[in-house]
Amino acid sequence: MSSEKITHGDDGGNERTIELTINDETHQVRVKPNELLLNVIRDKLDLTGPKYACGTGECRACSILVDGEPELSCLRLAVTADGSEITTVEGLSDGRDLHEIQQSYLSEGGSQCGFCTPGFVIMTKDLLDNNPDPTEEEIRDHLKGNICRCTGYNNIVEAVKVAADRSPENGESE
Amino acid sequence: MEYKLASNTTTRVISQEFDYSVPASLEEALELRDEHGDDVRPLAGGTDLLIQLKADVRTESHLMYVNGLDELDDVSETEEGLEIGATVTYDDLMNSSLVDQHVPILAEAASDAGGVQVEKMGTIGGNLCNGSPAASTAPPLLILGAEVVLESVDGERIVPIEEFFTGPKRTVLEPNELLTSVRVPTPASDRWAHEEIKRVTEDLAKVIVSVSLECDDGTVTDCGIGLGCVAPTPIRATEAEAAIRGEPATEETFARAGEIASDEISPISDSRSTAEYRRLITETKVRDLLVDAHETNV
Ligand SMILES: Cc1cc2nc3c(=O)[nH]c(=O)nc-3n(C[C@H](O)[C@H](O)[C@H](O)COP(=O)(O)OP(=O)(O)OC[C@H]3O[C@@H](n4cnc5c(N)ncnc54)[C@H](O)[C@@H]3O)c2cc1C
Ligand code: FES
Ligand code: FES
Repeated sequence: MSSEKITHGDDGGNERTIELTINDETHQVRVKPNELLLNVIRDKLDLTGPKYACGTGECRACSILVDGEPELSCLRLAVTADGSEITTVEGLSDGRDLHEIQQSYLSEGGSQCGFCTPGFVIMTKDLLDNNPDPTEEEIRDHLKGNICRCTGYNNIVEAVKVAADRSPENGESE
Repeated sequence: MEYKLASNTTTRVISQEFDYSVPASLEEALELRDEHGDDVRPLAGGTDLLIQLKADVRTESHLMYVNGLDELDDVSETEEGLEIGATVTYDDLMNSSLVDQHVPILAEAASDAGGVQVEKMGTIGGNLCNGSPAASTAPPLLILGAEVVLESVDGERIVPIEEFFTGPKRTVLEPNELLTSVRVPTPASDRWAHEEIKRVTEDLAKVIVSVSLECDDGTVTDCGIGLGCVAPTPIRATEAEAAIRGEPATEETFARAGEIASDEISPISDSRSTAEYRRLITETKVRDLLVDAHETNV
């Protein structure tokens, strides 16, 4: 690990303006072709939900939704996302009111240090949007790429089940 | 483009600088390739290329984003089978009813690749052009007798997938060409099996085995054995295939195929496995998967 310095160079050169709609807000951002979407979201747009851990696709802490699909923001150039609609974990809560998925991670102990949680919460949203009542196997399969070093995963699976039960499609009162 | 050994760089940023273009059409993309050759590198899902750029194992001066090209993102039916566009993702393969109907082994291979996010991002064209001996889609494409379509401003050439790979990270793709699609004939037989032996799903495989089998009256009339991670390129175990054609379709025959396959491969030891393990597991899995394929109800 030689240099961790992130240069967002203002030298014009091959910098260009891209448009990103993140959590329903549209931004014009100046980026260079070599800038990663993760770093642009974190450092230029101040949304620090998506986390950098491995940078090579192994941990999934950087997961976001791009045009509704779960992707790894550490392996996407920001320029390739020009014109996209992005959802980060910040897009789930309504002001200070947590989304039911976030509530469930809290109540079931699905988050400890929290570093992996934004990635898991985004993947849980993706799962429940497409499959509101998943089996345990489907839950584990959908989250299999995301790594957590604290919880041992069982509480995360519980959190997803509780979130599914609480979701409007399945009736709040269950 | 040049290769060098990985230096101790961070994976947080890409430190090398490059230019970037988004061609509006395939024609424009081919013109860019014609003008600049390998100085303009195609970028699809980026799941291989970006890691190589971060590690500085390759240097690029100009990337061209091909993922938005409409000409490359379709799966369509042809007289012989399917034509699969270069930017079709693993997720597309897993959810395509045409793939399920014609070549379900490809959907199975796609579902082995890397977990949900990588399935959404990684493309079949990127998988093949990256030229890894561990490419998940290569062993099934080899036994299906697939062909790749390579296009340049001068026209297209059709290359059998067996001739596409020339070594680790090397293919016959010319600097002025793009891989535009993969043509896959519908197999005559529904007997097939595929397995990736890996530690966890997100890993690249230690060994990949794909088999297909045609039998008539208890005799093997044809068979395919495709292998990944056991040679400098994905390969067919042609000696093992030849040895069991015309033989009775029994576990003994399939065990012999495993033995011959394990002799004809040239595995290496690396961070994922040892050469010895790769030979042993190839022997066992070729046998087991041929047995599975044989037992499939067709
Ligand atoms: C966590 C993780 C897990 C993975 N697991 C697997 C796995 O299980 N099995 C597996 O096989 N791979 C795996 N991979 C590797 C990778 O995801 C696949 O090889 C993927 O299919 C690459 O496609 P891409 O679109 O991302 O390629 P890119 O990275 O965009 O491109 C790869 C190479 O192909 C070239 N290229 C791309 N498209 C074209 C084209 N149309 N014409 C000419 N050249 C082109 C590029 O210039 C580059 O050299 C994994 C990667 C990660 C990060
Ligand atoms: S930081 Fe993106 S997968 Fe680990
Ligand atoms: S809560 Fe700490 S890594 Fe998951």
